[in-house]
Amino acid sequence: MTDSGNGQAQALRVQGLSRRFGGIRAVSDVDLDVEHGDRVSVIGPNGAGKSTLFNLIAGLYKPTGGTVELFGEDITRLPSRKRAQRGLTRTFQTSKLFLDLTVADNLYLSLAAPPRSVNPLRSVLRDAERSARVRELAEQVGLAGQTETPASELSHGEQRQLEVGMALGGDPKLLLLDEPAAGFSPSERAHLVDMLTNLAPSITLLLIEHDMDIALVIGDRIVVMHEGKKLMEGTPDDIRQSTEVHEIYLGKRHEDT
Amino acid sequence: MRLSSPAVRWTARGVLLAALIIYPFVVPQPGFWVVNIGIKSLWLGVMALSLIFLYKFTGLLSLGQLAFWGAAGYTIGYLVQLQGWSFAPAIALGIVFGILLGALVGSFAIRASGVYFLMLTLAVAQLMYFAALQASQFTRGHQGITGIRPPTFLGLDLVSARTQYLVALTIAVLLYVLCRYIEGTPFGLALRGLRDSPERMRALGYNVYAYKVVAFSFAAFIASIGGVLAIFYNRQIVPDGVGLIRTIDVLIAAVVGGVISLPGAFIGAFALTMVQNFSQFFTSRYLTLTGVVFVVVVLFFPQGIAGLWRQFTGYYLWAHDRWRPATRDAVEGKGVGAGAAQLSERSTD
Ligand SMILES: Nc1ncnc2c1ncn2[C@@H]1O[C@H](COP(=O)(O)OP(=O)(O)O)[C@@H](O)[C@H]1O
Ligand SMILES: [Mg+2]
Repeated sequence: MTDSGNGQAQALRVQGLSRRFGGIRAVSDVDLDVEHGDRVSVIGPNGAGKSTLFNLIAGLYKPTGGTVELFGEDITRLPSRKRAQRGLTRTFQTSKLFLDLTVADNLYLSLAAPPRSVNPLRSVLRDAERSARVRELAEQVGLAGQTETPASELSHGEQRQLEVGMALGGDPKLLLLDEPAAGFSPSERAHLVDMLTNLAPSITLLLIEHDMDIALVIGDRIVVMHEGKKLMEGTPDDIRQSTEVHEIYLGKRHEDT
Repeated sequence: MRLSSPAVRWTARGVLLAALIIYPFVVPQPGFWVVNIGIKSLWLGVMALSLIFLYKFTGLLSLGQLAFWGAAGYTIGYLVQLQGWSFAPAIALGIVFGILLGALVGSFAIRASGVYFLMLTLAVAQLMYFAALQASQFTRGHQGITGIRPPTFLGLDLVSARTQYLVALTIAVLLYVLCRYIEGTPFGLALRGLRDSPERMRALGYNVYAYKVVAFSFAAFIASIGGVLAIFYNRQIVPDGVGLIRTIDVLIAAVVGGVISLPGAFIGAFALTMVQNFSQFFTSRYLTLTGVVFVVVVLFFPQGIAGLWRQFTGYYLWAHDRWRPATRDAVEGKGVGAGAAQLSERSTD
């Protein structure tokens, strides 16, 4: 069993994790240790394997090699839903929302998921406790005025906010956010940073983010991925000073823009 | 007052319900209008409701609902007519058998999706047909189980056309209200959720497979009740009752009525029943006619009869916006964009 010194297992331990898609090594032999309450940003150019790493951790893809441990338990073979039930929640890089349902109903479903025991046949309208929590969540992600809007009618940025809201609704112990700020306006970005800064300290956060201002501010520790491998890991300052990172990532991004 | 305000809607519902209750007392030729049109529309509507429930809430289009209709019907026919049981326990057992068969079929069929699910469920309905032909010690083969006399329940004599109609109406309304209620429960929300994004449901911690099996079993429950009503109506159960043509009838009723609309089930069943009964006056090609109606609906009215209002208001907004470009800004995004988007979205899923 992995032991982090204080008698508690690590929040997340990834060892030798690999995933191939045909000839592409999307993730190749990645190790990662995350302690309780850590804030880790994962950065790297497009196609570096960041999302695939998340999908392996969350159980959407099966790895071709390696193991994933969540709170000391080997979850490599567990399906997504069992991982979710152990406190791992996530957002998707491309929003996966319930487009026919209202914002409130989307959030409600995140609150009513197992292992919580919800009477499946009692009208949602009578569930005052969760309805109140729905409003809180909507407020928290900046959708307070839109709880009755169908998700399909939200703007792109609002849909991303709802993604985050649903991940928070699942009572996360480990929260994985995949480019939550993609397509955000500056004010939406500021709101997100604010929200992430005020996240309960007990929540362990793994954040994929292209925006360096967000990634380096939110992350206490930064993991840089490149071509499926973990290129380096360090404090935000280490990353700022690394010429290697500048070359493969920052430099390239500046050329792009 | 707006057309969609709750007061207007509740009044409309009350008027419709009152009209449906008065109907058997005012129509001429009760043998035709109450039985052939009324009761037939109701039980066929229940079958379409079972299909639509599954499609609306899970996105699965099933051609197998008649298998559960047949399972319940044959169980009742066998127990009552060949074993001398009384109706009450036979009906209970018939429904239980229909649900269990639904759970069994569901547990493998829902692993498939799209057209594979369609083919699998069609195969199940065909299996039921051949079982009905072959297992003659239970089903009396070709001849079927005939001469079933509808019982008297709680003082209600189901031999009487009016009584049978009112009982069928009550049950149809209850099933409809139940489906509507489920729509607003965590269970119903979860079904609609997994229809939109099963990956997200899994990522939230839901067991998508189990939910689909339960939904399928519930649809089989509705279909089994349709089987009970039909046995009172037909007074017999024969293999052709679960044959290919009847299977397609259920699909046509659902699609013509509006395959994502719960009331559409009954609207479509009524429309199909009318076409079936009246087409003989001007053509002997009843099947061709229904086929043509079906194709026209699929091509031009993808939301069925129940969706006509929405479809035409969609066109109206579109045309309105087109012909008066000056007002484009006044008609906010909801007009054209959302209207048209909704139409195309509905027609593709
Ligand atoms: N489902 C998939 N099927 C095939 N290839 C994939 C799939 N998902 C990701 N890839 C490939 O894996 C590599 C890493 O992708 P991804 O993890 O999305 O990168 P990032 O999130 O860092 O931009 C890319 O080359 C991508 O094309
Ligand atoms: Mg990505």
